[in-house]
Amino acid sequence: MDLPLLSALFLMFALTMYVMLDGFDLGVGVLLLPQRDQQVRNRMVDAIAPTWDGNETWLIMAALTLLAGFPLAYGILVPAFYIPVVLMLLSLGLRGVSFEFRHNSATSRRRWDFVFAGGSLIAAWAQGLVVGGLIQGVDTDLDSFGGSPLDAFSPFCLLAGVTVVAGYATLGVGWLRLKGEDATRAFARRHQRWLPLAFLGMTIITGAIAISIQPNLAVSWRDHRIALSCCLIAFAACGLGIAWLAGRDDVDDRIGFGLALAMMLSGVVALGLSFFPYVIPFRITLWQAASAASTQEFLLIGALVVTPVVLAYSAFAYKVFRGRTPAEGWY
Amino acid sequence: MKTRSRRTSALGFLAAVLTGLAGFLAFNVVDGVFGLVESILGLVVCIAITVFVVQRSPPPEEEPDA
Amino acid sequence: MHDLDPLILARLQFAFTISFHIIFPTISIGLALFLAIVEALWLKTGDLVYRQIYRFWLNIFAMSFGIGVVTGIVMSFQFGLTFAKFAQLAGPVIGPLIGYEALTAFFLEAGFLGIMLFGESRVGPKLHFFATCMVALGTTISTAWILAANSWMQTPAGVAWDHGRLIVTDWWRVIDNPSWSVRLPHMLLAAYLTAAFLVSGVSAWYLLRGRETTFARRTLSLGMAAACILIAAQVFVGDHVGTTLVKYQPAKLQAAEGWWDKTTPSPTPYLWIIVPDQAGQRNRFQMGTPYFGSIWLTRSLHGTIGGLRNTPVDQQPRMVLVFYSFKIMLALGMTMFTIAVISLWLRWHGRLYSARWFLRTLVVMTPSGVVATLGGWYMAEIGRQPFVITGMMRTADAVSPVPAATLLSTLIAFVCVYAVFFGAFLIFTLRLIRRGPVGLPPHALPSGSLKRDLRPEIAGVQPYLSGTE
Repeated sequence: MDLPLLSALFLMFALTMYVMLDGFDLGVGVLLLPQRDQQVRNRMVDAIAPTWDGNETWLIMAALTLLAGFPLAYGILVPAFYIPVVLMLLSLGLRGVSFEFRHNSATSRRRWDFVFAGGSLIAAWAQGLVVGGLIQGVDTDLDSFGGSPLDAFSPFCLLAGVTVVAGYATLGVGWLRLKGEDATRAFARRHQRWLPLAFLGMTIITGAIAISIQPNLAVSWRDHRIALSCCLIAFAACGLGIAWLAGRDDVDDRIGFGLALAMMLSGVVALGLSFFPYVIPFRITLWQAASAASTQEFLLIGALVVTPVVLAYSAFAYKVFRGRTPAEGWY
Repeated sequence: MKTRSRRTSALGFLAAVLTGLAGFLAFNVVDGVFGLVESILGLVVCIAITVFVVQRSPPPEEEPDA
Repeated sequence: MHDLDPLILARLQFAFTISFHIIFPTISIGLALFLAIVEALWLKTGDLVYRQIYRFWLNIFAMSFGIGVVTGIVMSFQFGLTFAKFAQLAGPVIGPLIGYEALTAFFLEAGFLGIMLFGESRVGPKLHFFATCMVALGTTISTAWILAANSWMQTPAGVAWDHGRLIVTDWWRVIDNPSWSVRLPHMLLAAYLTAAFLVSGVSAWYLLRGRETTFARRTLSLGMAAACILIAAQVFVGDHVGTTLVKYQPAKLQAAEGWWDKTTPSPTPYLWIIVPDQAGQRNRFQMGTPYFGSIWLTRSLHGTIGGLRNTPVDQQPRMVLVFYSFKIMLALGMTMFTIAVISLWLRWHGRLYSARWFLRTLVVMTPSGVVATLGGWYMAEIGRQPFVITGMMRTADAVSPVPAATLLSTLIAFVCVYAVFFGAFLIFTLRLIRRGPVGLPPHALPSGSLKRDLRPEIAGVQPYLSGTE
C-alpha cells in the first residue's frame, strides 16, 4: 500500500474541506464590507456563527497532517510562507474573537464588524498568496527554505490572493442566499450575478500568467490533460451557471450554493492535480518528504476511523441549524 | 454574659489553631512525607471531610445566625 | 539588526504565543466541566438558580473558548514558523498525536459548541446537556493528547534513531511516556482549580457588594467545595510529578529547588528566596525554612539532595527562571490549600458567605489558577532547556531559517494583536460580571430559554421547538 499517497489524499481532503467550508465563512465576512445596514450584518454573522469553529478546524487538520505525514515539507513551506502565514493567523484570530466580542457589545459592534470583515479579507488574501507562492516555486536549500520571506509578495502572488478572495466571496453569497431572508437575500442575489464571473475571469488571468512564469506547470498539465480539462470545464460551467441562476427566484437556493461548492472543488482538484506528485511543487515529491511508515500508518488509521464520525456529527450540527436564520438571531 | 462570650471566643481560637495544625498535617500527609499509602489515605480522608462538612453545614440559602 | 539573535527571538515568540494560548484552554477546560455539572444539577432539580449560573458562565466560557481556538490555530503553525528543524525531526512523532487531538477533540468541541451556545431552542434539554458533556469531554481528550506530545518532549520514549531521523517503534510508549500519566492529571486538576477559584472569586465579589445573593451563594458553595477536593488531589499528584522529575529530569528539579552544591547541607533548608549566579555556579543570597528541604524532598529530618552542579554546565537550565516559576506555583498551591481548610471551617460555622475578610481573599485569588498554571508550565518548559527534546535535540539546533528582523516584526505583531484580544476579553468579562446574571442583555442569553421559562408567553422561538423535538 502506498502510504504517503494515502496521507497526501487525506491532506488534500482536509484542505478541500477547509477551502469549501471556511471559504463561505470568510466570504460572508468579506461581504460585510459593502453592507452598511447593521440589521443585515447581524443576520449575516448569525448565518455562520454556529458552525464556523468546526469549519476552521479543517485548517488545523491540514497543517497537522502535513507536519505528521510530510515533516520535511512542513519545515520548508511554513518558513517559506512565514509572512503570509502569520498574516493569515492574526487575521483569522481577530476575526474569530470578533464573533464573540461583537456579540457582547452593542455600542462598538460596528467597529468589531469592521475587524471581522477586514480579518476575513486579509486571511483569504494571505491564503491566496500561499497558492501563488506554491505555483511560482519555493527555493529550497537541502532540507531548508532557501529563499527570502518576501518571495510570496510578487505581483503574481498578489493577483492570486485577489482571485482567492473572489472565490470565497462567491461561496459566501451562495450561503447567504441560502440562509438569509428578505434584505440579506436580496443583497446576496445582487452580488451573486457578478461575483462568480469575476472569480472565473480572475482565475483565467491568473492561470494564464501561471503558465508563463512556471514552465513546469505546462508539463504537468500535459500529463493530466483529460482530468484537468474536465475540472476546468466544470469550473467554468459552474461559474456561468451560478451567474445565470442568480436572477431567477423559482430555483432552489441550494442549487446556487451547491454549484459554488462544485466550482471551488473543481478548482482545488485542478490545482492539486497540476502539482501532483510534488508536495513542494516541482522540487520535492510527496514520497521524498514522507515520514516513516510507522507514522503514516498511525495517522491513517486515525484518519480513516475517526473522520466518518467527525463528518457525521458535523453534519448533525448543520442539520440542527438548517433552514433560514431566524430574524431575531439564534437566541 | 461577657465571660461566656470570652470563653467561646477563646475556645473558638483554640479550635481554629487546631484546625490550622490539622490542615498543615494534612498537607504534609497528602504530599507524601509519610509515604505513599499514608498519602492515599490522607487524600481519602480530606475528600471525606469535605463531603461531610458540605452536607452537614447550613445550605447556601439559609441566613447565618449573627 | 545584526546583533539580534534569531534563537532568542524564536524562543520569545513561541513562549509568548503559547503562554497566551494556555491561559484560555485552562479556563475553558475547567469551565466546561463546571457547566456540565451545573446543567446536570439543573436538569435533576429543576432549580432556576442553576439555569442562571449556567447562562452566566456560558458567556464567559464562549469568549475564552473562542480566544483559545484562534490562538490554538496559531500553535499548529508555530512549530514551523519558529522551530522548523524541530518540526522536521519530531513531526513524525508529535504530529500524529496533535493530529489525533484535532480529530478526536477539536472537531468534537466545534461540532457541539454551536449547539451548546445557540441550540437550546432547537434541540431538547437532554440533547443540549449531551452537547455540553461532549464539549467538556472534548476539552479533556484534547488535554490528554497535547500533554502526550509535550510529555514526550520532556521524557521521550518509544523512538529510535535511523540515519538522523526519528522512527517511532512503539506508539503506546510514545503516548504513555514516563511523565504523561502524572502530568495529565496535574494539568486537568490545574484547569479545574482555575475554574473553581474563578467562579468563587466572582461570587465573592457579588457577596461583598450584597448583589445577586442567591446566585452568588450557590456558585460559591459549588466552587469552594470543588476547590477543597481538587487542591487535595493536586497536592497528591504534584508530589508524583516531582518524583518523576527526580528520576527523568534531575536538572529541572535541581534548578527548581535552588541548590548548586553537589550535596546539600544536612539538614537541608527549603529555599524560598535565592539570588543565583549562574556563571559562578552559586547563590549570592539564599533564604529558606530550616529542615523542610530534608522533610519535603527526602522524607527524613537530615536527608540531603544534589544541586545543579551535578548537571554539566552546558546542559543546565537557567536556575533563576525555573526556581521562581516553581515557587510561584507552589506558593499559590499552598495558599489554595489553606483557603480550602479555612473554607471548610467557615462553612461548618455557617459563615462561608458572610466572612468579609475571606470573601476579599477569594476576590484576590480569582486569577490564581491561571498564574499557578503558567508558573508550572514555565518550570516545565524552561527546566527542559537547553534541550527542546530532552537529550535528543537542542533548542539552538531547532530554529527556523527565518531572518531575525522578520522574527522581531512578527513578534511585535503578535504582541499587539494579542493585547487587543486580552484587553477586549477583560473588558467584556468585567462588563458581564458587573452587569450580573440578572441583567444579561437578550443577545447574551444564547437561547433565551431563561426568559422563556420565566415568561412563557414571550416565546419568540416556539416554531423551531415544534419542528425539532
